[in-house]
Parts: sequence; C-alpha cells; structure tokens
Amino acid sequence: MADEGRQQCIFCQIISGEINARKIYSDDVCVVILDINPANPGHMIILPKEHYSFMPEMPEDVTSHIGMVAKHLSQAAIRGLKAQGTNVLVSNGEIAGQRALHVMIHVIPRMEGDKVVGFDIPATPLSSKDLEEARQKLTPLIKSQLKFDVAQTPILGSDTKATTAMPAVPKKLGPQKQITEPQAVQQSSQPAGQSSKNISSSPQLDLDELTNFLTGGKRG
Amino acid sequence: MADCNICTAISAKMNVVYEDEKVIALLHPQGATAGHMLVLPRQHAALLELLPDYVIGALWTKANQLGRCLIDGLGMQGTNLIVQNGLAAGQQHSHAMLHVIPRKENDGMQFLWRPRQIGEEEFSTVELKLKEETKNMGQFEREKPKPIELKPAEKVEQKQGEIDWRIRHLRRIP
Repeated sequence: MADEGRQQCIFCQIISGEINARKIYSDDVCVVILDINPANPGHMIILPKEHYSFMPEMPEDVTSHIGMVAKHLSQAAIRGLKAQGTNVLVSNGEIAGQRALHVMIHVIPRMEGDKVVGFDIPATPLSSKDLEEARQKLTPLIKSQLKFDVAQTPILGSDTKATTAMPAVPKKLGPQKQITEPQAVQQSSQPAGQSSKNISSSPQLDLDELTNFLTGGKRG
Repeated sequence: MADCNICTAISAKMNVVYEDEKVIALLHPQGATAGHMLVLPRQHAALLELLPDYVIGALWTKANQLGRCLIDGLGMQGTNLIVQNGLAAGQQHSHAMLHVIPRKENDGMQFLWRPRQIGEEEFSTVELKLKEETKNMGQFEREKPKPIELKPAEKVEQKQGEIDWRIRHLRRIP
C-alpha cells in the first residue's frame, strides 16, 4: 500500500528526479523545492525524502531535522531575498488544506504590505469551560504518548478576570513600541473569527532588530 | 525576560499541557479554537532564528506529538502547524512560538493563499539567490552533552595479603 502511494506520488517523483522542479537544497533526509503556485517569490516547500502521508506519521528524528532546515531556510529567505518575515505552514489532513498525500512544509517569505492572506490566525474568545473540556480529553493521551502528567490547575480562558499573564492586546515587541488606546479597544471589540492583525505604528524598529541580527547590520 | 508576557505565562504555568527542559506547550485562551496550542521554547527569543538548532528540533518534535494527541483526543480531522516569524508575517507576541491548531469541518478557518503569477526570470533569480544562501547548510547545532559527574572514589578496604585486582592485572600476575 505504501509502495503504491509512493509510485503515484508526484512529490516522490520530484524527489527521485523523474519530474522536474527547481531544487534549492537536498540532503539525506529532505529536499527543498520552489512552489510553482507561490504565495510570494521564494515560497519553498520542504519534502521529506521518505514518503509520509502526513506529519503525525513522521518519526521524531525526521521531524526534528526538517524543523532545523525550516529555520535555516527562513534565514536564507531573509538574507537572500531581503524578506521582512517568514511564515512556516504545515497542513495535515484535507480539512486543513492538505492537497497532496506527501508531507509538505511551506516556508514563505513575507514583505510588509504584500497582501498575502492565509497565514493570519483568528482570535476567538474561549471560555474556561471549553478549554477545561479540551484539557480533560488531552490529558490521558499526553500521559500515554508524551509520558507527562498534565497538572489540573485552574485553567484561564477569555472569561477569566485575572488574565494578566496573557492579555488580548500583545505587549510591545520592541523597546520603543507602544500600544495606543484606540488599538486596544479595537482588539477587544472584534467579532469572533476575524484575525487580530496588529501592525505596530513603528514597525521599522522591530524589523531592524530582525534584519540587524541576520544580516550583520547591512540592510539592502 | 521581565516584560515578556509569554515568559510571565510560562513561569505562572498558565494552561500548561506539556513541559520539559526546553519546550513548554500551553492552551491558548484566545486561540482559533479550543485546543489551539502554543508550543514555546522555555528560553526567551523574539524569533525562531535566534534559537539554537537543537531547541528548534525539540519544538517541532513536541509539536508533532501534540498534534497527534489533538487529532486523537479531540476527534479532530486535521491540524495546521503555523509559525509567524516577524511582524510582516503576522507575529503577535515577542516570544517565538509554534501554533498547533486543530481543524474540523466548517470551523470557519482557511490557511490557503492565492497563487501569484511570477515570471520565469524572477523565478530563476530567486532560485539562484536561495541556492547561494543555502549552499553551506547542513551542519546543525547539536546540544553539548553535559559533563559526566564523577563520584568521589570509594575507599576500598583491602584485606591484608590480598592484592588489588587492578594492580595484579597490570603486573600480569596470574
């Protein structure tokens, strides 16, 4: 069954060289190609050489290796393409947007104002009751699979008054960035399901932090 | 870090579902859906690039295992693993994190993009630039093994007349 999957898999054929693709990097574990339907120029896909239908099937060492490759590709996109950020996305299952039965890790370079949608995560107020229910269902599995006992401490949801640890409005990212009052009000009045985009009033300072580190002070 | 709200949440052990030396996972109180987990490095870093490779490896491994638990435990039909690196990518907090979002039918979410039309020339330029940047890739930072703790040598009482076997071996006395 696995062999049939491999034979019919376009990505396995790309890995073996039967189908052409623009290869960026290759090692024992994975191959990196450019996506022919990119969200942005430089949109890369990491493909494990071994055929796995979706990420939960992937063993630990392969997952860990691919994570490290994703980090370095992200750095490469920032240094080489002067990207101002990167998104990494894995979709497992058709419902999540997986289109082919081969694990794909997308690394997408982003620029300020590039109007790419699809990587904004919606923010929904979640009640402590719902979160507690989820935790109860997860506890036995986390115990058996990760060998960890989930502590049954009080869970904090959006309805808990003392959510000082994780406020709805993110704190300033850089040393001089301030969240202004109107932004804070707008955040809490957004209906459920809408993304909570919060572009700072002075993004340059924070992007400089990113670029300075990765490019050693030189900015293109 | 003192002014990082995520570091505060980590030390307060807020909504923790997993933790170890390097990684901590919490249930997001304002996530996309109940079960949306944040997989975080214990050490503070604004971006994933600022973390050592072995921490990134640990983050991804745990995120994958937790993703499996989400599908089995909550009866979900899939998961999305998302990283938002940098403001332009939608980063919301100043602490690097991996989002693991459980998915089911009609949940109102969509992580899809509209493909952009890019000319052959631009494609080739981009390919060359990325190849150049990744040509020396391959050596990943491994965790330095901790030194072995040496226990103080145990005092062995020797009976009179008995020779230590080690000395005997060295002298090769049968």
